[in-house]
Amino acid sequence: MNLTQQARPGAGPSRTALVRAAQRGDERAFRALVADIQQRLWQVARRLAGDDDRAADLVQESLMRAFRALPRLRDPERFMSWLLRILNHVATDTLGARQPESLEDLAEAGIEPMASELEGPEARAEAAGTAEAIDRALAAMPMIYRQPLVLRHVLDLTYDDLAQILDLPLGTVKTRLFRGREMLREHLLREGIRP
Amino acid sequence: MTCDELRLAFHEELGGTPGPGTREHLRTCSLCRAWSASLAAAIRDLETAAIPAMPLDFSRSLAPALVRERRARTAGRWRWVAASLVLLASGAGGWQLGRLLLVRQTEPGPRQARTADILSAPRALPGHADVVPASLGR
Ligand SMILES: [Zn+2]
Repeated sequence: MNLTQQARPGAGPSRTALVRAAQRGDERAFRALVADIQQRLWQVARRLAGDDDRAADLVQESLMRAFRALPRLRDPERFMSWLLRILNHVATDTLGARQPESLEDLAEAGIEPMASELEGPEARAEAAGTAEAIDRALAAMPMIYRQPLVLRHVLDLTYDDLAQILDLPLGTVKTRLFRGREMLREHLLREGIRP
Repeated sequence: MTCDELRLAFHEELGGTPGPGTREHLRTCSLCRAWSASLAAAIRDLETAAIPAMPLDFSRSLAPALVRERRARTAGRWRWVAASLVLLASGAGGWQLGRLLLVRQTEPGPRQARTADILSAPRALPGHADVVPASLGR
């Protein structure tokens, strides 16, 4: 994903133009900007949060904080990167303090627990699909590993983008990303999703 | 290349083209071959697994909710600015009144007022209209 690109090329004014207009208080530009970015933001939030309710809270709170601070954004070209930075701050504030979820938490939240760990191999075949397993794997890992994993593999961002958004040195970004990938792999193995 | 080095290199090269060192190690090491296959598959799962769509009602209500919040904040900010200006104006008026009256207090006469009166009603001192600057007092 190119962070300066608009989501729907050719579908009206550029994102940068919308940001500039919204900074001047143009309400239509503001609405168009929300329409332009909300799906991308949702994808990240949904993966980070693990369920619809928390993802919706995350998107809404991030956009509120962003639009309050919008007049102070100096480089409208970097809007998406700036917005993702805010979203990650909000995710850390609101979701990061929570412990990675235990099987009991997941069950309480209505997310099917890992059948392989609870009921043995025969239940493995009945385990929920890969998408749900991914949600469980992400929920089970600390936010500092979840964030680079989602930004890199859901939004297809570069390491440099990650370093900027997460405000971390490149080396730390890579270490966390590699550790997150390993946690994901181990989790999917445990669930029997992968041989 | 050791197995640890292979793993680091594989992470770096994931999504791109594996280097000759990586390929050579994977050709000869079954442990790393199994590890790299499961890691690549897990990442493929993450990249391709469907993300539940944004709920339609949330998507529809998001922009209007943000606009409402923005309007409320803007209105709140103007109310605050207006209140500050009023306070500032009355404060300045009170201070000027106080200063003028302090000077006049040294001259005996009927035009005297208690400080409390000045502070509580700087714009409505009966009989003292001449000490309230026109721009502040009316
Ligand atoms: Zn090896």
